[in-house]
Amino acid sequence: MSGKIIARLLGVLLLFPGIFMGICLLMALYFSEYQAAKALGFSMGIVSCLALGFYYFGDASRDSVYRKEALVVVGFGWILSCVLGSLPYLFSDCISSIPSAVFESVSGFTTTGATVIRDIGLLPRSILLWRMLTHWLGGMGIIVLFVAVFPQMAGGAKQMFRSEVPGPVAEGLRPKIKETALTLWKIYIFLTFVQTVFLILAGMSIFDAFCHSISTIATGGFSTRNGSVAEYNSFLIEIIIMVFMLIAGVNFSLYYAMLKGRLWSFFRNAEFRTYVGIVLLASLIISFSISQQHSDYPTALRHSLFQTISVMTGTGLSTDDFGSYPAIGTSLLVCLMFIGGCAGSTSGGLKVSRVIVIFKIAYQEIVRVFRPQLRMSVRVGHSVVESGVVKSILVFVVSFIFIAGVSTVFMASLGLDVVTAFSSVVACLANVGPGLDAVGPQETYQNIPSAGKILLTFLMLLGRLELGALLALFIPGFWRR
Amino acid sequence: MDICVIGLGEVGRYISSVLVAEGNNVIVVDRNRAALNAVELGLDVSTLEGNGATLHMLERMGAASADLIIAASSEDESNMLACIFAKNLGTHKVIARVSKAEHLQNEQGVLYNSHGIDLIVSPEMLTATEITKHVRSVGAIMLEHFADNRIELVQFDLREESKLLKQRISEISDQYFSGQGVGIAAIVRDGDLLIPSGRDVLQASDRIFLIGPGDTIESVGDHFGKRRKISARRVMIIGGGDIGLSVAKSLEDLGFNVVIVEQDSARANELAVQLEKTAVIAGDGTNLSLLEEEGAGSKDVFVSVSPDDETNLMAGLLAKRLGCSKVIALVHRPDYGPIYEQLGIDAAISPRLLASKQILKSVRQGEVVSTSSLAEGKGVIIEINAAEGSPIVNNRLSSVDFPKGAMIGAVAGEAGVFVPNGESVITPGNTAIVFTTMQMRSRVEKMFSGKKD
Repeated sequence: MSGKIIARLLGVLLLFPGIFMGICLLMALYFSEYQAAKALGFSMGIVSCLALGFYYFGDASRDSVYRKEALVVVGFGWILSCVLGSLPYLFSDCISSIPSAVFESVSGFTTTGATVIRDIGLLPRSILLWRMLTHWLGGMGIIVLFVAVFPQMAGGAKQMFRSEVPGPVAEGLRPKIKETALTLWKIYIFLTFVQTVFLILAGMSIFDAFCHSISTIATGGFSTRNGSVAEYNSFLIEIIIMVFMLIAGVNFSLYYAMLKGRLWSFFRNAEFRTYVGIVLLASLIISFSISQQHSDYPTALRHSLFQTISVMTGTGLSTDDFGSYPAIGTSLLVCLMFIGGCAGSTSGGLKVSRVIVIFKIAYQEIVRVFRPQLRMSVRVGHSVVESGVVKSILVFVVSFIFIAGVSTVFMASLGLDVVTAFSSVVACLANVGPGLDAVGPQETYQNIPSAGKILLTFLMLLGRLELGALLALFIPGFWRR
Repeated sequence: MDICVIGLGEVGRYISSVLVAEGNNVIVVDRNRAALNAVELGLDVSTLEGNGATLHMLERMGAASADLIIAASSEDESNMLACIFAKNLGTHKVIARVSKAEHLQNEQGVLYNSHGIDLIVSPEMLTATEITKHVRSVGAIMLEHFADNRIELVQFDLREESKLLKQRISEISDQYFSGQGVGIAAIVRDGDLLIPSGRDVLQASDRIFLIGPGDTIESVGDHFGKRRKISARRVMIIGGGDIGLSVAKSLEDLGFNVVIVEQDSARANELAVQLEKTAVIAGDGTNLSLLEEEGAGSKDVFVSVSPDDETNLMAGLLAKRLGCSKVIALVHRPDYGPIYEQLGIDAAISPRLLASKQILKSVRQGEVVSTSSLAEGKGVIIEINAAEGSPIVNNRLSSVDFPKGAMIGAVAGEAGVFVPNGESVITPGNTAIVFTTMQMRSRVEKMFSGKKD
């Protein structure tokens, strides 16, 4: 492993948080938020110094990056960005404790949307913007952006790209990985722009519209208001956000196919159909269960649809306190947290295609009990999933659930009740944000003990990088020469 | 005719013998001296030893002035290469035999005029198509398309209460479908195939084959009774080679319920990838308990198409014993065919024989576009192009001496589709759909052929 090339790449990678801090700094100066400007300026200085240091210590004379180096760059790139991203919160005194600030930063980058800030209204606008920009960078992925913008490196780019794009199949849209990454970012920027325009037309201020669009398209969950989307109390705004949350949970390669004129690829895509099916079914069930809590059924349906989409895609914006739903509603929502959106989207969780594969395997194993000689291939839609991929999906799902179980025990040992412990773990691991009870949509993660925050911080990163990329760094054999 | 046959496998030998018997000058080319010697003893051919896919050899066999070159060796690419070279040298007509499906852009096993090769024939794909047609014609289902889907064939069972009973076909035609271009092409009565004339009378429980343009045939069919629906049926296939795979694929697309048994474990996994709805069983198709467990006896059709003749025969006989009524088996050595049928196999299909016949047909007759079997193989439907100068063209049909037991069901030309009567005239280039019994088939083909023989 070559430390020098890793340092060089990390140096370049840190430019992104640096530049985004600069944007927030300009905003702070424009709005005369001098306290925040100072904090952002300091943070930017530290990030820039680190970036420069890495850059000059590093050396790119050997231009090929191998598997291990790629994983280190992805893992450390994320950890560094997240840690440095907490600096503006600390320097501006918005958050005083280090674990809380890092929690907030990681929650931003991983598009979880869990917050420790009780009153968002007190934050300066520039700090609010920084919170949102962490969502935006992390949503499509800082590494994907890096691959898209910087000159092609041999080999490693693909590996890095795969470690960050969620889902079992990172389909190559274009022959070159750099072009694929660029295409994904273009679609991402385009969607954010379109939603911003819609929200402005629906009556939001430009700043709020921009922030909520980022939060939606990145399936993040941060809002500029304490009461999230509910505060606007506008049916039109809710519809726009609902539609775009649904859009953000779809495999982005389908949008590319649409751009290429293959309009029907959407409806032929088995994962997409299952995804929409689950959303509709779940929101119907929930709407019946909460019809008593609302004045009329259409209102119940509107809220259940919003909450279902928000939770399933791992966004975490809310128009209603789903923590107070009947048990059937809350338990269903926790299941949806596990499932998540489609592979290749910005959403979290297991991903629909993995769930499809797990169900197919289970079905086949049952059939094999009475027909052992039957050979079957696992299919999602018409395409066959190779046995190697099937195995890795199985391992992923089992590890995901195992990690959730062990973490719940740990959280409970800190004195949290079981619903809070379990839902906080799942909401963080699946990058959803709000959980139930003490961490419900109306609450924050502020009262979680520090040890719990550290664990949840780690779980958010694990969930975003889909276990493998991060866990590999903890295997002793990885560091052996 | 001066004809060269490259490659002395089963196909090459069979074709050479037929061509010699018909009085042609035949040169056979093969790399194996012993095979050439063996052929020379029994046939009046001249032989050349060497690789037929080289320019040098093609010049030696006189490709520049040859009427026909048939490349029938076991290597697909050399066959195609030999044909392309020969065509460039000036051979009038070239025919290549290929095995791999990817060389043909279709599933039928026959490809005309591709890359300068007049005809490409794949024994394996021909066999698969033939087996699929056989399976489809068993029992109820029958629905075919002809002339680029402009003409449809539909099958009805005549009900007891039908008002068409006890009427002559000529009266029915005048009364119900005059001017609609629809006609009765064939009748199955008590298991026998009848090609009807205008004087025949319809009886209850007749099965009637109606032919005509797709859009009008629906409405006309209402006079006859219940249209037979295509229903999914159960088929078991032993052997997942190229033929088995191709048959399974076509049948699953047609809505059949297919089980395929393949002995080789790796191949079985490959089949599971290729086939979406078919159940793939890894196991031995001659294992009685496996056949029982998978319900071989209750299948509508049992097809054994492994590469091994003995396996095909044994699996077929086991299925027969378990109670399966229709068994189709592949026979690689054409000599075994009659024995198969003697032992109770319903249809023995030989890929080499099929390929040879296909090749010979294109040499001898006008262009047969497609053939389908009718009423479980008792009759055949051929779609044939009328050649310039053939007996059938440019005369009123009433003045043509058309074989009895055969009938022109429909004619498609540039003007459209029509059901011919005595006054109709077929012009060169028209496509005719002809219903015929097996015995009359070669006479029908001669009627459309421009060659005098």
